[in-house]
Amino acid sequence: MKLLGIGLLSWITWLPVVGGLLLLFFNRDKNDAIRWFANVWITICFLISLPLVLGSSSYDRILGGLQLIEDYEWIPLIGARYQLAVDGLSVVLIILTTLLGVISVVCSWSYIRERGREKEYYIMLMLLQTGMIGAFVAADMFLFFIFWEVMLVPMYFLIGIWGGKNRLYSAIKFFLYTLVGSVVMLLAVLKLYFVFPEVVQQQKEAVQVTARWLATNVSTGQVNGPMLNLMEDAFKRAQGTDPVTNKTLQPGYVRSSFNIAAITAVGPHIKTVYNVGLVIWLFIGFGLSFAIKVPMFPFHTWLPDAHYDAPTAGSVILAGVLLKMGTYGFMRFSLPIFPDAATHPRVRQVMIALAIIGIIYGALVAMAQKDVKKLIAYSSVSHLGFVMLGLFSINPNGVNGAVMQMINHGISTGALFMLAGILYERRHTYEISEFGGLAHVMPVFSTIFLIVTLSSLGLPLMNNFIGEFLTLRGAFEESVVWGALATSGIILGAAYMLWLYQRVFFGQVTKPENENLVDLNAREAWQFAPLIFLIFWIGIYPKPLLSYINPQTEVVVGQVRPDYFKQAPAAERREVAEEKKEGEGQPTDTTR
Amino acid sequence: MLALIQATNDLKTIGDQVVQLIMPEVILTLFACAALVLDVMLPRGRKRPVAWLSLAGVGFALVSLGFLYFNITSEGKSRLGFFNMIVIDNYAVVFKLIFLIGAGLSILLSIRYLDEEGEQRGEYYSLILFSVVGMMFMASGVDLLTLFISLELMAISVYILVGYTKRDRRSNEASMKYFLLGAFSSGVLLYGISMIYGLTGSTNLANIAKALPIIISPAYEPLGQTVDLRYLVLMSMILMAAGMFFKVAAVPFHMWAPDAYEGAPTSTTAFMSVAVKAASFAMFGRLFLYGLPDLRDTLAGNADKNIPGLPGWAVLLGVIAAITIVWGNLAALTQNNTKRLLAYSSISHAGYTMLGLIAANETGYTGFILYLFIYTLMNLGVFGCIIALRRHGIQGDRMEDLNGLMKKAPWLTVMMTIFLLSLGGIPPTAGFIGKLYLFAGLIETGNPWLVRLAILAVLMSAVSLYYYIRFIRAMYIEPETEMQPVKLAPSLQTALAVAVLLVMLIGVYPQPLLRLTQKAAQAQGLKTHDYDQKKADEGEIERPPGAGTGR
Repeated sequence: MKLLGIGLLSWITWLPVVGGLLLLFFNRDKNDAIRWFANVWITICFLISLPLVLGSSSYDRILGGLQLIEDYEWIPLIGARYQLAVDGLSVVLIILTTLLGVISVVCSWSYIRERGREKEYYIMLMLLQTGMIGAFVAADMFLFFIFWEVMLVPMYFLIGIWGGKNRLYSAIKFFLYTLVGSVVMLLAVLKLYFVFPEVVQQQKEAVQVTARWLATNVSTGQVNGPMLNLMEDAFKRAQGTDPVTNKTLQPGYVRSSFNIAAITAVGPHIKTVYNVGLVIWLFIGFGLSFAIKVPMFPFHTWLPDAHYDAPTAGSVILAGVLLKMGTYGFMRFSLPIFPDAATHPRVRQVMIALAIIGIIYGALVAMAQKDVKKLIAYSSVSHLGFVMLGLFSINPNGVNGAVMQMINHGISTGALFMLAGILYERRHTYEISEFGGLAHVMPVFSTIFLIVTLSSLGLPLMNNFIGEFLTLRGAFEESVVWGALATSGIILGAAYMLWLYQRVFFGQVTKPENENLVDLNAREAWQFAPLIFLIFWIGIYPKPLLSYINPQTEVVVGQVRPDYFKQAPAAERREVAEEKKEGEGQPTDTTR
Repeated sequence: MLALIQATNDLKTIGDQVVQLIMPEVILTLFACAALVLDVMLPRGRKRPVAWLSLAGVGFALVSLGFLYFNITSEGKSRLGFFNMIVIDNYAVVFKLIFLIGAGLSILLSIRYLDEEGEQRGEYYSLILFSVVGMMFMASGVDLLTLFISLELMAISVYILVGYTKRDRRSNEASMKYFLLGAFSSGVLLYGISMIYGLTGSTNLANIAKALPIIISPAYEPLGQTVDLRYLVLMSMILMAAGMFFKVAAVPFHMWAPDAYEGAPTSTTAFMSVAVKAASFAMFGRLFLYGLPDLRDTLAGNADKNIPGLPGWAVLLGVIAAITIVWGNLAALTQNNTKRLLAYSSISHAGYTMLGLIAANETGYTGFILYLFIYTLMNLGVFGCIIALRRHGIQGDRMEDLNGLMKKAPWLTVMMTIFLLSLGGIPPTAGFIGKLYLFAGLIETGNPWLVRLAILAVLMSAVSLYYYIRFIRAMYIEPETEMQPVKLAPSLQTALAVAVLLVMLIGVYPQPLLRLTQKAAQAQGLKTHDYDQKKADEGEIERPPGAGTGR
């Protein structure tokens, strides 16, 4: 689908930063104009991302695989191409990003008026938005890396300029932690880049079989033609042929490729050409970067600081999207490209152990917090532990649950941070002991807070329940011990969330300052509407969301554990098999 | 003048008259002399036309260089001249381009600054031009004598430039230190040169390269008896390397740099931090890749006769690069004077640049040249922003002087931010592309030690962000400490705008520059080295033509 000759994905990616550039030309004293422009523009950015899931040209979730491909030459000397594409995983994350983008801009309406420097603030939010979306849509690793690093700078400014007391420390800590991870990833990317042509040349048939697997929907057997072509182009180049003209490559064009799908197809065969040691080192190179971003247990210390000092919008985006970058990275790169490392018993044990430690430790530390925002921040560590557990269960339930949890955590924790932000705007403190009995003073606020709290602790019929259920089911499938340990995290989660709610909202109003707090105004109340809608929708009817995620999940699981689908009992095949009958007639192998 | 440029273009005469090969240098020399004359004719306090004249000289030299490129080297050919003392190849041409861009931007940066310092005189510009002439010969010299003389031409001009603000004590001290240490290092270099001349009987790099394999074989029998000359060869190599390390300010020969950078007038610091460094690296590359390629690897021993193998210069460079990167970055962390901080940062960048020489494949050499090109732009940009802070009564080189700059000069702040992020290697700026190539070169070799070096370098580049972010913090977050407004002179604005546009353009679309620098890296005589030599010999690995080959 194209608008004005530019592909839909490019529009979604670049529109925010265009808005940021336009904002540069606003007079910095005209704050009202700037604020209105930013709100309207970010809404447009959200609306333009909706065709991904609505309308005729939208993403075909039954087919699965990379779609809406845009492929242009960019730097032929290093083989980097401007390639954008989305699969089901990216689609849901992009929608989440654009939605949270709108919400974060809307929820800063009054906070930023108070803090000042609105123009720069909105420019940074727009830039951040482009960076995040870009990382999700990039189908070229070089492009992905650029977007990945571009995200750091605006976030540094958001925390550093508009943050709380300790903002300078938190901002630089966030920046350096994530940077260390990503520079190591850069080296791993380069190594992959250099082994790519070698592996393709020596293992041509095997690589092509894997490529075909990647482009095939496991349940329906349909083949995604354009995606297969994308990979074939990269393989042709690796063998020295120009895919367009079918002649020998001109000098100056390299044989290697940064194409993520092609690299994913090559990944499992690295060990036959080189050795498993290299695969594990590469896994560590990527994994370190993602583990810091998630953050997994020993690397999590930047997160509470960054969350605590970030402005509300920053926290929402940080929790809602930036942390998902890490888990997205594991799902997109670490698992499918390095299956030998991911299934290597020791590696897997370490990852699972860290995930479970994260779940329990995060919950326990959250319980000990005296401060609303820090509590929510540590709860993120715990929730993301679930995501990691689900991913490294490496079965369809676990991975589906993990992806669901990524979305759910974005919704629920984003909402919690917004609620905490509203408390802060009223009282300029996050101390739990400063509040109490707010249910009497702010009934609407308390109701919304209750809904979000219950969602966050995983009450059935709400979103987190589905995600946690699937994740735990996946974990139990692999090992009862893992499942049992992780389940204790849910109990702890209920404990700290309900205890928080009790201390803040129930009982008598203890502080005189709290007696006259204003309840939510219309803007503040309505900004929660989409989130609450999603909480219930996903909780009650998760199938639409799952139908986007599942094809991708099955491909990843099948890639990492090729024998899984052969051994698993028939009941393990997911409901999507129903749709198999519809699509079976015509395999849509739309070769160019 | 146009006739002179036309002469560069006139290919018919090039065959027998080789003056055309050095036409850019000739033009620059003429303009430098003209600048001196013009300086005398202009009244005191109205010396600005000298700057414009020198700028015109740089422009004409660029045009003339362009003719050389399109007539001779664009297809990858090269041409020797003056009894094989100089060569015009893509390596030389690209480096000359770097020097000219550096000089042009430096002149633009200087004009207003010298007014501010009250030292607006014509010699300044002619000294810059003379030093550029020296640099250009350093890039194209393939004879030890040419190289040394042009090095001295550059160095002496720069010694004077460092001490240019003669009423400023810091400047005097810096100049003295720089002169003494520089003269000492020249001596060391000359010692090495004399030894290699004694060993090979030639000052021509090509002849030296031919003679060396014979000399360093452990069974060299010049007079009927076996002589092990390898230690002597290594000695001379180490002395030459030490001289070059001085010039590029690599640890442990970096002591002069922070003092000289801090004391020199900021415009000179800008110029010497980029152009002098690039020129020294150009000569470094010529000397080692063109003249001593056989000393890279282990000098073979002979196990039967109990003669041990000796490490070559790849090891030496690797160790020095690692120390330089680590020490430069760590020392920069604690600095409070921006010029001193940037001096340490430029020391660490010298270390990064060396990575390209160590990798010794085409990617590495491309990275080596590319990085110097990009570094010239971004470092000049940063210094340009610091020059903008030099206002009446404010030196502008303390970290506090940057406080709250965002309020006073938002565009300047944004440009400074881009330069700093580029220095730190954050995409989508040019610095990222440069670092990417350097690291890619190391990774491509597949040698475990070089991969470790790459990991060290990449982690230290994360550390470097800490001090670059300090600038950003001061500019955006700290409250203003003084209220004097910042006004940019038009010439400074132009220079900064050009630099920032190039930095962003190269970051987003590096293809043209990559192609140019790759051509330079493919220049004849830059011998690549395959760390997988054994595999390649057995024909196991067929390397793709674009992704770096062992020729």
